[in-house]
Amino acid sequence: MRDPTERPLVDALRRGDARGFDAVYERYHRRIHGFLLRLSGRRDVAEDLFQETFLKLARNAPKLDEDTDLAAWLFTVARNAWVSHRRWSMLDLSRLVAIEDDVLPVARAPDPDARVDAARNVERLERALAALPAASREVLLLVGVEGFDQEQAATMLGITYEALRQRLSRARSQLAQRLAMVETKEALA
Amino acid sequence: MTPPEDLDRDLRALAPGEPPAEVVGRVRRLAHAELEAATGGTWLTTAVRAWNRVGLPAALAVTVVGYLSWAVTSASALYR
Repeated sequence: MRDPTERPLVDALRRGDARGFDAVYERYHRRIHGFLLRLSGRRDVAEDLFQETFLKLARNAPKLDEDTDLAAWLFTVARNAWVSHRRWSMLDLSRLVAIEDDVLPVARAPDPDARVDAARNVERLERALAALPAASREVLLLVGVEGFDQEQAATMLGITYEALRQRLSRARSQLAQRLAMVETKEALA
Repeated sequence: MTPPEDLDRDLRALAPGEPPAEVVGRVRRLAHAELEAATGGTWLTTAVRAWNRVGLPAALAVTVVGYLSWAVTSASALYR
């Protein structure tokens, strides 16, 4: 569902107002960067695609429709940039390169023990996500992490609602299996 | 195996990824320049764009047509 507070931001972008752009940038830059980082698994690639996404927003600002859903627009552009990058690189490097350890912050927990547990859980989840096939990873990132509803995610990925539901269900079970494998390995170590 | 509802909760709780400050600043600067260019910018950028898109191609076309007509006229004069 479109956020009603975005309408003034879209209007500002259409006028070419730099402060409007800054507000949009402030609202979305962390999410887009995190999405691209988890999708690509590489900091340098994520930064290039991040730049490409926001420059495209600036370039297309006057042409935006009045009722543009900025979140959906930005994530679609970011995802398409990544798909295009993958096509050019001719190799899915994200399956060979694990996500860098220091890249993503750990959620804050109230006491030190809980913080260590939370950090370990996040690390497991990040590793399990990074090890999934790209198609599963992108659907989990859009629906699970970014909170898009399934119809929006289907539109963003250019697939039918039914195909998205199947892909999401498969991705969830792959992620659960990966997490179970990680936990088993840790228990044996 | 982790229950699906726990997976959804954990996924939702993943933190967004803060890019390096240098990247944030660079992209903002570049985007401002793009935004200005895309929405008209100063009279100078408008004039430069108009010259590049209309003036220059028109001047080139006039020069080529003028040269060709001179060449044809001269050649036919020599022939006669």
